[in-house]
Amino acid sequence: MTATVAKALAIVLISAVMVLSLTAQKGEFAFLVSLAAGAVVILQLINWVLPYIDTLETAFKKAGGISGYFTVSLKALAISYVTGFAADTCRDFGQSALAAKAEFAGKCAIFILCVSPAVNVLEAALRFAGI
Amino acid sequence: MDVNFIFKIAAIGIIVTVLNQLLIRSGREDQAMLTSLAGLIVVLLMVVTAIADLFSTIKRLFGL
Repeated sequence: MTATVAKALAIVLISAVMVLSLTAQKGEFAFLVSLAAGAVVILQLINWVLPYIDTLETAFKKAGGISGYFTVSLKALAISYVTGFAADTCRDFGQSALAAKAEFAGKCAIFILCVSPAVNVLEAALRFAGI
Repeated sequence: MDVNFIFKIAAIGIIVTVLNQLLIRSGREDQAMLTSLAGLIVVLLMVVTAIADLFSTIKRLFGL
């Protein structure tokens, strides 16, 4: 368990050293090293977490109706992580305006994702209230 | 798609920086600029394919 975490932390620290060594002369390479390191770490951690998400999903499937909302929240989680990855990397190198645009894109995606469940809940509530 | 990938990119960055300084000191500023541009494009293509791979993996795994 902790081996994967230790490996991810080691990768992050090593790439931080490389980013700092490259920032002095070549800022653009530092940005690309930071982007690549983020991609590698996220990919490894997702492959590590995924079997547990599957067990959670099968547990929710038994619950019948609720499993639809679990998949929606899972998608929102994935979108937020990817958006955070891009926005934080941009903000790291001083591009806070671009980071704000990336976060706005993520918010739009999650909003569109959550419209249909919200409508379902509203209809169920109205039906329950007899309106 | 692991640590070697990061080391490769950092190595290219350092080599391009050294070449850049070398060419500038020997009076060939234009070639120095072209060399750093070429290095940047190579690294950019590598990183873009890695990010595309990451996004498609996430899309596939989370069913987006």
